[in-house]
Amino acid sequence: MFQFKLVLLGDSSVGKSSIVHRFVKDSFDDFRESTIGAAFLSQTIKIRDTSSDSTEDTVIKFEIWDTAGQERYKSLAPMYYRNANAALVVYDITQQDSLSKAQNWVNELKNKVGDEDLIICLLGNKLDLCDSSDNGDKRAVMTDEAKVYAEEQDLLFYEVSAKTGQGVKDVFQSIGEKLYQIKKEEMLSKKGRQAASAKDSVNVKLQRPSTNDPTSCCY
Amino acid sequence: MESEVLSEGHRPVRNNELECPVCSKTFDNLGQLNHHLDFDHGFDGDESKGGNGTSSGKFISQGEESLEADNKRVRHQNKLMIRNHWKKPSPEHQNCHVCKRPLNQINGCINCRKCGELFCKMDCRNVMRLNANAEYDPLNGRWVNCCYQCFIRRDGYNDYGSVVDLIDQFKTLRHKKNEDKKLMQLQLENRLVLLIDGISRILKKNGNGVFMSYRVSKEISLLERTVTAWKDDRAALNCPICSQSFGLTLRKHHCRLCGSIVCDNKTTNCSNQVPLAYLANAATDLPFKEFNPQTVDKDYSIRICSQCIHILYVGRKFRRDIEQPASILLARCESIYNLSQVISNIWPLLNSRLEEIENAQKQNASPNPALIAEATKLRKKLLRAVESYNILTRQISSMSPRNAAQKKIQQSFQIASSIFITEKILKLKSIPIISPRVNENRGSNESTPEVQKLSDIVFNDLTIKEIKVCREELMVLKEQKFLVESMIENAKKQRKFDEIAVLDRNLLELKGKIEEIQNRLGEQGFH
Ligand SMILES: Nc1nc2c(ncn2[C@@H]2O[C@H](COP(=O)(O)OP(=O)(O)OP(=O)(O)O)[C@@H](O)[C@H]2O)c(=O)[nH]1
Ligand SMILES: [Mg+2]
Ligand SMILES: [Zn+2]
Ligand SMILES: [Zn+2]
Ligand SMILES: [Zn+2]
Ligand SMILES: [Zn+2]
Ligand SMILES: [Zn+2]
Repeated sequence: MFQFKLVLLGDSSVGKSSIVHRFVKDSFDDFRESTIGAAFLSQTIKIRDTSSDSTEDTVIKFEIWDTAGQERYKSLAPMYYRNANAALVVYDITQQDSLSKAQNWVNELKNKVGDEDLIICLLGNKLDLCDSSDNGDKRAVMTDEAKVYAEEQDLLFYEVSAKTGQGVKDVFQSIGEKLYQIKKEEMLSKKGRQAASAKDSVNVKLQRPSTNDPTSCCY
Repeated sequence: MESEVLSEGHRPVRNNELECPVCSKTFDNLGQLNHHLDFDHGFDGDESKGGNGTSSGKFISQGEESLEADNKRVRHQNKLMIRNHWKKPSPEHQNCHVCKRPLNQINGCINCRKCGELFCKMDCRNVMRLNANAEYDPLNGRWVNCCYQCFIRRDGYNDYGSVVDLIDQFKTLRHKKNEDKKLMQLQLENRLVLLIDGISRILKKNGNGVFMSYRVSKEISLLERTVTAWKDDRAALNCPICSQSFGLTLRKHHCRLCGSIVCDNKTTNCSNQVPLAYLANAATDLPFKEFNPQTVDKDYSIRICSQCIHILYVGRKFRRDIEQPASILLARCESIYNLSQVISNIWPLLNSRLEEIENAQKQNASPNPALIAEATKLRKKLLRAVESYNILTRQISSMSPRNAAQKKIQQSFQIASSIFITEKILKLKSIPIISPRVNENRGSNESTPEVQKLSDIVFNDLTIKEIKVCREELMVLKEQKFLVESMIENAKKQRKFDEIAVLDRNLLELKGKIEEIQNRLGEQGFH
């Protein structure tokens, strides 16, 4: 079973913990407490391997670090985004400045991690507050604005709602598939190399049947 | 009236008489002066004019006749000067002695009147005064062309103007003054010995400590007047030391050593009654014969002026003082001075090592481990020295000075040491240093040397703001450590073993980070 490290970053009260809880426990709390430090949760998902002929699903596991958005805990973040396979940078669709905070996180990730294999996903949360006809539209960040930015920066981009659960599962699913894809390619190339080197060693053996090793059968 | 006198004077004074600014020779008109300047002093920079210095320059036509006469005189005098040392143009001498340019119409061809070598016009432009034998004669010689070497080799040449050495004059004056002072001191010392011995004898003869009879007083008074002649009371109107005028409130007194009339003002201390014992004991090097500190009347004292005290005792007291071991304060001050020398010496050494390391890093080469070891050693040494320096500074500050002088010394050292420390620390802060630090790249945990501010490690001397940030970070880390520990407990209860592994790894990381920050904070952190 493959394990992937996943970290959530973003300003306080954008709904990081809510998203994780929706994903892990499929629950939502209207009065969630602000996170202290960084919380740890894990969840498994099934991935359908389309390329292989086997019909069996592959199971992958997420180790999720849900960091606190409060400024006070900012110094903890590097410890958790270091070595992460994917980072979910969350902003609140109804708060314009939460997007610029998210952009800061993206910059930090790109500067500090510098790993091309790190998947960064920009998540706009609280989508339920936007298209509710009775309460009026509270949207402050236009979808296009975030989308253009995400494309520029080569990020995955989704708008979700932790409250209704809209899009949350899909986010993790697609991230999982992407990570699995990368992992598989990595393993294939490794296998290829191993195969190649194995072939070489066979050749060597064929070329040099005799050896100085006294324990060898060819001695 | 006055102008008439002038014009009818005995000597015909010519209004237009001109003086050469260089040699003070006088001329009748501007033309002659121009010519003189061009010819004798080489101010004629026009190179196109060749020849042997007889060129008729750009003078004004009005003086043509007198110039002709002058030229004749010059030629005549040139003939008077010896010429047998002059080199003649020949195959061996066809180039300028200095610049080796060919000697011809354009470059010129001139003999230096002094050494006789042949030069081009440009290299024979200097002038000096020579007599008929071509010897330097600054008083009566004639101004002639010469080469640069002859010009600077002449007696008394300097290129910075005239110098009058007054040191010898100063020395003799000073010597004389010192001699006078010494003589004065010897005289006073002799008188002191005579006085003290004499008084001791008189006191001894008449029995010590007994009631001082009129006869004894008289005898001592007589002795005092034989030792030094007392000045006349009536002539003195003011005290010679404080200049206050004598009167009913300001009494006149005779100094028993110099005989001058001085006051006894208590605030100016112009004179004092000083006990014999004190006078003798403060100058034990003097040959007292009769004086016996045990037997002499301890309270018997004589009047002495402050000047005599100064001449006799200031030097003695100084010599005695410097022989004594230094006070604790001075000893500390000396140590602190030595330490500052040590710090100042280590500093450039460490600096150059750090530079080498930095250069190596710039070229992406890992610095020589021996170099790092040396830098580390120097750094530790520096650290210890600065620590001791700080301790000494604190000790000096906490001392209570015994007198005004000590207080002054203490204050000066406090200022000096605080300047020294801030200067050194400011310098240190600008210097990077090698320190092992966890590489922040993914997947690698090996430590690599990284440039860090020296101040971070050398002094733990973080700014208040830095300390606050570090403490905050430490607190957050400890909080998180506690959280992760409880998460591990929970995972164990729920038997989520793969989660435990993840959390354990994180716990280790947290502990490492906590230690790192604690080290950085040093004693300023809390444990
Ligand atoms: N309407 C709505 N409210 C949400 C949504 N997601 C989160 N919230 C609310 O937003 C508040 C903050 O949510 P959290 O999940 O605690 O936010 P956080 O980013 O984890 O904040 P920190 O823990 O401080 O970093 C909570 O009161 C949630 O109920 C959402 O999708 N829709
Ligand atoms: Mg939270
Ligand atoms: Zn002149
Ligand atoms: Zn020349
Ligand atoms: Zn010469
Ligand atoms: Zn006086
Ligand atoms: Zn005197």
